[in-house]
Amino acid sequence: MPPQAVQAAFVYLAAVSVASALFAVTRRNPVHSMLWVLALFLHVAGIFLLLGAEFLAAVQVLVYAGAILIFYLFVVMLLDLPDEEARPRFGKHWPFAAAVGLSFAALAWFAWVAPTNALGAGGATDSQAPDDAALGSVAAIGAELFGRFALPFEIASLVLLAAIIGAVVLARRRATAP
Amino acid sequence: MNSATLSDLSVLVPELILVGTVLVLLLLARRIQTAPVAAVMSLIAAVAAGVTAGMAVVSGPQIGFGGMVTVDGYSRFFKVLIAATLALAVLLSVRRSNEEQAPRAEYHALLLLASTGMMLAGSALDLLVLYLALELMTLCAYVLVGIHVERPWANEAAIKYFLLGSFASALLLYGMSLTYGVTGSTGFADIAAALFGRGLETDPILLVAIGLIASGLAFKIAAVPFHAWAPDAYQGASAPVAAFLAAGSKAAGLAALGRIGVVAFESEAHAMSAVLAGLAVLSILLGSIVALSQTDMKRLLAYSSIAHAGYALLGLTAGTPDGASATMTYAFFYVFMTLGAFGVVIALGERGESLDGYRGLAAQRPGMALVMLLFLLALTGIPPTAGFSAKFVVILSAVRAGYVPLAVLAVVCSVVSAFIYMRVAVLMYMREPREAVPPAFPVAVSAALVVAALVTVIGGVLPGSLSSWAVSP
Repeated sequence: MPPQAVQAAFVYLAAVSVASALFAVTRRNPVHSMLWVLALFLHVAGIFLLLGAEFLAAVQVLVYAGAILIFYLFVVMLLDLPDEEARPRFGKHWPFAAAVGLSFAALAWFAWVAPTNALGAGGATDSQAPDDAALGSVAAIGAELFGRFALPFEIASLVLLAAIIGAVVLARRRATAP
Repeated sequence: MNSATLSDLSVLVPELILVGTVLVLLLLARRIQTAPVAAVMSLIAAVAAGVTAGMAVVSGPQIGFGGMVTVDGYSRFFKVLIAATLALAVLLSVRRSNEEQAPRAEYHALLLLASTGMMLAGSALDLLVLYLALELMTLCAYVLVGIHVERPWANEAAIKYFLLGSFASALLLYGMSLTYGVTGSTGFADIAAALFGRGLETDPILLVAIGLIASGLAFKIAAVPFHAWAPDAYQGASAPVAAFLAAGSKAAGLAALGRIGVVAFESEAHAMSAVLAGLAVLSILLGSIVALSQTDMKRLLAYSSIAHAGYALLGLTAGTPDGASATMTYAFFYVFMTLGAFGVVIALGERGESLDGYRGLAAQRPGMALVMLLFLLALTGIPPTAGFSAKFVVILSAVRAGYVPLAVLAVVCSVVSAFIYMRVAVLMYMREPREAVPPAFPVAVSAALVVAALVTVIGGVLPGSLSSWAVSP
């Protein structure tokens, strides 16, 4: 991709991320908020893709959009939606939350403009960036997963198998026969 | 890049046998719902795993998967012990035909998977493998505790166990990630190498890491103050599951603690010892005292298991190979004593759950009362049972390590615990029976009781029989 296209894609993804984050916070209907969070996750995954971190992008979609968001939606479904919409959108503590958010933004800005003198070793990461790009690629992670970490990977599959058996056993219907 | 080869897999033969049986069980699950086929298959798998683990040639430690797991004397010892635990638990799970049953195939599959996790925990050389192995064990244990979904108290026990267990897993994981942060490695040998020559002074965060890892593992062995799950889980679970947890979870947790303490944190042994000594004191005290007031047999055995976790830790507080070996001996005999005591509870059925059910048992079933008396003597630590020789070696190693007050406390609490166990003996032998003669129980349960009783007696008569076997990592 030409650099201009990358630049344009980044601007689009970043702008939509920020916008959907704002919408997620300000919408009255919690379900709408969740859908905006979904948009946020997908666009952040796009930014990861631009950075060459395919694995992180896939995990972002699978774990955050696929699992955690659905989990949140289940909880939201348990709420009394009309009652929830009638209440004021922000609680009394919103200035505190805003202060935390602003200080985090300030920290990010600080880390961006002054990477060398503020964090000491932080400056060194810039020179290593090209090498690290290969580290995050799907191929590199796959090779590690099936090479050095083959055994932990297989044990993790057993853990998942146990979880599946557990879910089936615990969710089974009661035996009808006495 | 190294890929797995056959020699890597040969390190894990017992585990592979168990996992293979699990897969067969699950494939055939629909066909073996009612038949005792599942129990027979699991028993064969347990025996096969135990035999292959015991016969593994140990001409020096052999490692596999790039140093992730090993076969050495230590892992062989725990693999055989866990295979024995599994076999006895399977035998104890055979019910009377008229009793309500959990889904057989899934129940046995979970038992086998939990045992696989325990075995892996004993042979892990890497924090990553250790964590996943312990997770495999506990995840199966949560489900096993709550497997009787129609019983409300089983559900309650399972949920409590799950919540506390997740919390403990998080502690363990935090400790492991801090260790990785300090040393830059998850392999035990690399951690030890990175820590060599560096004290806690240069890395105070290491103390936090050691404390968190010890806490996470203390949960698995139900040591105070991480014991709160045990009484509820044992009471809510069916008795065979409680027996399996009391024996197996403890053995696996001790195996992990021993290897981490002796190999990974070798240079920080004094910090590890201090943490473990604290856990041991609290467990022995609280376990012995609270057990006094219990009227439910499974809760009594749960508090007894908490106290025994403390005794077992006495060996590890020494931080020496001899101490680790003493703890291994203790774990070995404890498994058979506690499985035996739970076996009698299972054999008596409903009646065995409360302490009152033991009134006059000697008059009604002298054989069973005698066997129970044997296990009670062993749990107290009275010669000539294995309980005495086990307690003797751990207290001796605490004295040798300079923890004399700890040893004195252990002896005093042993005397207190005599009152707990002898209370049951008095009920059995000196009270008139109030309930009807208990019905006959399956042959499998008797077989398990006989095996456990034999080990308990032989361990007491020949106390040195294990010493060549219990080699520390």
